[in-house]
Amino acid sequence: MNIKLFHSEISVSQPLPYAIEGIQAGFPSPAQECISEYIDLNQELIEHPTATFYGRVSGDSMIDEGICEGDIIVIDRSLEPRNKDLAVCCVDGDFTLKRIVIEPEKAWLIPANEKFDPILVTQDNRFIVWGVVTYVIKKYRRPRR
Amino acid sequence: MFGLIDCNNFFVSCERVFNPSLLNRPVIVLSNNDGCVVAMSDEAKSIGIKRGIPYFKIKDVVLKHHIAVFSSNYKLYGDMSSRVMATISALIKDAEIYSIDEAFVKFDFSNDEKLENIGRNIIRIIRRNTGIPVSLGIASTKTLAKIAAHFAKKHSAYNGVCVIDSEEKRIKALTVTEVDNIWGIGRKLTNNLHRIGVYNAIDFCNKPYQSYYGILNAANIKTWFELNNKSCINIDTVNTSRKQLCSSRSFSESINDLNLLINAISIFAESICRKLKEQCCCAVSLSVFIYTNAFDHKQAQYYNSSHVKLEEPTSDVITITSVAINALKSIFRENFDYKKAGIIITEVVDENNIQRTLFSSTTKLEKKQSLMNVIHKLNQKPNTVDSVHLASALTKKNLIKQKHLSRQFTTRFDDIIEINCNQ
Repeated sequence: MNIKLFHSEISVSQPLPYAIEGIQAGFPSPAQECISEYIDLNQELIEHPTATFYGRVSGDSMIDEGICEGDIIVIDRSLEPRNKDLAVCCVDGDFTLKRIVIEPEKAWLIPANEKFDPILVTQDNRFIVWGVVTYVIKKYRRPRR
Repeated sequence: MFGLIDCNNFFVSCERVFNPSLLNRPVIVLSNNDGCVVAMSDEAKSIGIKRGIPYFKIKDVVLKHHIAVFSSNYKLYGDMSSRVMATISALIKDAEIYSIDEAFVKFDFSNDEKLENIGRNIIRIIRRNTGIPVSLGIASTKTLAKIAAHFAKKHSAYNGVCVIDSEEKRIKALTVTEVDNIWGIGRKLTNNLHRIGVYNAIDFCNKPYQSYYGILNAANIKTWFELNNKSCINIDTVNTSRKQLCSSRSFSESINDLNLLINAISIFAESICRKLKEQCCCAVSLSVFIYTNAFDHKQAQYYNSSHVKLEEPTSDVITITSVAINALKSIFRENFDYKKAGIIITEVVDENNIQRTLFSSTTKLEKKQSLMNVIHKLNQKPNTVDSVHLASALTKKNLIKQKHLSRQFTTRFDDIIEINCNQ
């Protein structure tokens, strides 16, 4: 078998063509020929580009939610934080990632790892919800050693 | 009604968005090459640090007060600026980007809601979406809005929004504004006004403009009318006036070797061509300058510049580099220690508006075009030291001192913020 490899251009956005009809087993639909749209992950995942920032996770306090060291998180600052949102918070000058539970006059930052305790935030702390997390990007295939 | 949205201590605020431990701490940002202070936080201002002071003079103060020091990270500031400006344009239809950290806006009269509430909502959204704190001044003219923005920024009681919407407020504001703080009044005019006993904005606009015979030019008269509540300067939504394109730098150590200067000039040429390309325009003429350290009285002093009109308008890095190098050679004199060099594009035209010379060959141009694209593309690739054109053997790293540079949090994937999940 002969496989031809093309090197890919990755310096620009990467639109992937997809068939509008969806993927079906069996005889290919004639409509398959009109591939007229493409998927752009920026368009699908980023609703507010000017308010969206990326962060990289370090540590394992959210591991039970499947968020691990090295994962990339997409943060949208324009969203008003709601109760139980996953959010990047600043507590006393440090970034942290937690679920926030908002109560009158105080808030709880809930980790997802039994080794860690919830953090109570009161008016004595310098506390800001920096942005709400909308997606977590995880790399499953690790590079070959 | 007009508004001026002004980012508070913009460079410092950009650093603080990605480094919350800097909140409430004195912070300063240094100029290119870590030479002088170009921006500081309110905390640093109250310690007594002034804009423009050379960094080496305040190193003791920095240590004593535990001041956080940053090299200017223009990629970060540029990206944050465009986020702020895009946020503003999404909120208000008529917006004019005035500088990296200021925008004029125009409010509809039809709005029944109180302008102050609208304004407060605008600054809240900008702060929330971008992390950048801004002040907003609102008044009947742009010049008055600028004064209002100054009050909004300086006095915390305004909570970021100051509206001049009555004659009483206008007079009060102008009474405490000195003429040199008026938008459009420069140092020379200020001196002339002082000479005839005009110190405050209210003195300035209470005197009939005809009585300033020979002192005010047409633009100054517009300022006079604007302060008197008559709007003369409208929102400029199309970008008509392109700011002067310039690339220059003070060297960390003075240079007396022509070859090293040629290296520097070709780096500047590359960066200028990139700016031209981004703005879709071509250079018509440029000037190259070099000078020695004027503060060093023991050294022999030399300053010169050479102005060149290009054969035809171009943004081609090869042409501009070779023209600039020739210009440099014509002004270079041996046995001087050069402290600064640079290129200024003095005239530009739109890419689509070019008159070709009779003998220009299009194929030659096309070839150059494609080579240029390769050079620009190379320089856009992440994680590589900028490739530098032709003559330059020096990398930018050797040329610029940036000891305290923060990361490119928003424009480079390896530099994004780290979120601590260790607690």
